[in-house]
Amino acid sequence: MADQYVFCVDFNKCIACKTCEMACNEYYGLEGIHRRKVVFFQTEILDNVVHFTISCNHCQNPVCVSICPQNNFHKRRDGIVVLQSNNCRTCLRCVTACPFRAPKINPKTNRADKCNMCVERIERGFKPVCVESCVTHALNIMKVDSAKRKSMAMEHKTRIPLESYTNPSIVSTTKKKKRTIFLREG
Amino acid sequence: MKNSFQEILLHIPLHHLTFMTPLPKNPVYYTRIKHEWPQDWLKSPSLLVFEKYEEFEKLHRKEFVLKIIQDSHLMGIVLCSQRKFSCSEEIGAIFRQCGIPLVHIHDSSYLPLLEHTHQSLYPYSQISEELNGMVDKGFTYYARELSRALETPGLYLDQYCRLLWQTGTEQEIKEAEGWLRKYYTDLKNGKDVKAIPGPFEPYIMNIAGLSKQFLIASADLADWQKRMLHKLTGLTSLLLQTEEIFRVQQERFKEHFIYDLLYHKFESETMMIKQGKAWGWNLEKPHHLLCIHIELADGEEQELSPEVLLSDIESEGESMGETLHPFLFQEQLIVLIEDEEERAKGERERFAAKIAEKIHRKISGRLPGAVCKIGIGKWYPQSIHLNKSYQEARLALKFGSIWFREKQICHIENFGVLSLLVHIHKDILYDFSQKYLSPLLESDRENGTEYVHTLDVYFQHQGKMNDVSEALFIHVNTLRNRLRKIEELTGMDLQDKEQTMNLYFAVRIYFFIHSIQ
Repeated sequence: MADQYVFCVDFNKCIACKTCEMACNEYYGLEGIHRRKVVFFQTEILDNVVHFTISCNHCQNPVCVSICPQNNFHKRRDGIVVLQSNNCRTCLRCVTACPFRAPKINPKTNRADKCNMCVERIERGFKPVCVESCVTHALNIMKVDSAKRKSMAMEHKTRIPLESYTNPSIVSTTKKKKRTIFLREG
Repeated sequence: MKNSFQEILLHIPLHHLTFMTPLPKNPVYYTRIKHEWPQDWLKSPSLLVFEKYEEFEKLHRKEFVLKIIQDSHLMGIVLCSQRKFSCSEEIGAIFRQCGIPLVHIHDSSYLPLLEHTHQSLYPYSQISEELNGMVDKGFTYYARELSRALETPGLYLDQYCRLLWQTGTEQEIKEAEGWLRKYYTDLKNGKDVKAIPGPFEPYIMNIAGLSKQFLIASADLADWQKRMLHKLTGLTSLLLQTEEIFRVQQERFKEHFIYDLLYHKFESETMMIKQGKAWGWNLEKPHHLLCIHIELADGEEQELSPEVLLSDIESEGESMGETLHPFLFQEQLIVLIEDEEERAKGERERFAAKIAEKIHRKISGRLPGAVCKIGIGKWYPQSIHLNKSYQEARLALKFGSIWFREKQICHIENFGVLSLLVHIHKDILYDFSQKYLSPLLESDRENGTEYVHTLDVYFQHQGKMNDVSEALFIHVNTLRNRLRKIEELTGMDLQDKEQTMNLYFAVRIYFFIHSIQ
């Protein structure tokens, strides 16, 4: 298969405003659950705390697909992993198996729920609502050739065992630019 | 300017022509067309054209042929009928010796062309019909006909300059092959064909600008003869391009189908089964799924053709009486094995493993230097769950190569308790391995000892001292001392089953975490 969608996150631009989280919740009317979440972490390479917006990464080998006893997950030709929660029995397997903890239980429906990359918006030619609402353009989506995906995997290993197996569809810019301070009068 | 007989023939679709004798190299001109056999000598250069089959049959009489052939104004004979006609070798030889062309046109609608002795336009819409005729009769028929008509050999080379097909007399082919041997490198390296000297000449078939194939023919040809060959190569290019487009489309459809099958993207099971039938796969029956990863040795890459491997696997299945569907997907070989027999669980696993072993042997035989590993997913009674089986086979492949390095075939069902590790958070796993291995790791780091590696090999060989010492290239006594030291450092007794089990998992987890980072 040729081009597949991936999320693209620029660490340098993310200011942890959480607009993406809120926009998603508002668009889908979610309460008590976040499909997208801004996380904070510090690494040996980066001195500063890094903000990182994360949701389902629409992995190339999604573990949720194989773990769901109802076979509710499927991966579209454009790479988006979609959950059909109609038959969900809330067994929580996907919730615990996903290395990124993407599927969560929606308290309203009491069924598994996860980011679907706003698939209905993409089909109409729009970007996902989280991407549209990102004020600093830190979050974006792009299409990459699935054959070249390996080289575009996250530069920063998350040290989560399954991560290298699932091959998440996310491209990140990790090098934090050194801050330049301009002194101004007044 | 009047057109020669040969020029006119260029305007008739090749599949409507049969050249019963070679066409003379020099242009043949005529001023009249006669539709009956002459009773007397012809008064001007004439072409005899017949549409009635009984008229053709006169050509079987040798005396009759010998009489008409002496007429110096007889320029050629055209027989027009849909019915096949052939004359004896002897009659053919007489016409050949006298240089009088004998041509059979299969469609009478082209006869008016013979009347138009002035320049006539080629109707380009005819290309479609010519192409259709070529699809029906094939390139080899055309090439053989033209080779006979133009008295030139024809050697067909594919894009890799491999000789696929040849036509002509034995002597001609021999000479052409000699020439080809001499200039093979020039052709392969894409040297300008005009710079390659005779007595043969390559005609290029440029297929959609993507690849080039060649037809080697004699260089000593008249202009109209070359145009006829150009027509042949042009039509062949179009045909191959059409076939290529069709093949690419088919491949794309199949690729989409496979993707949907392995990522569960069908509206319903019925739809999946229906689409599967289009590719000859009976998805009503359950299947095992094998995921094969091949790491090639240096130099093998160029010689490897995936199609060869796929057909090898398919024929292996046929020899076993099993239906296998091998295909390529995301740089790996996937094999579906049809299995609807009533079997016990263990027996079913052994069945899949047995076929995997045969496939492994076949691949290893074909690629002796390559490393081939096979992962097998769970068997599900419905093919709609093949997507799960695919992910499991990939897991078996990935983690099998970490935990069971010596094993070439790993079944997800054989992972046992280890399969739980993939779902446990890394920090918990890390803490567990550190709890048991930290003194050994410290010693390895500071003193260069290889305690963790020793333990890993020890567990892989089920604690058989001789095997372990052989694998580590050390003496058994050295191994005993090393193990004693390990027991001292960890405080564990390797003779105690429970303690050994904990150490075993600690080592497995340690290598699991480190291999995937």
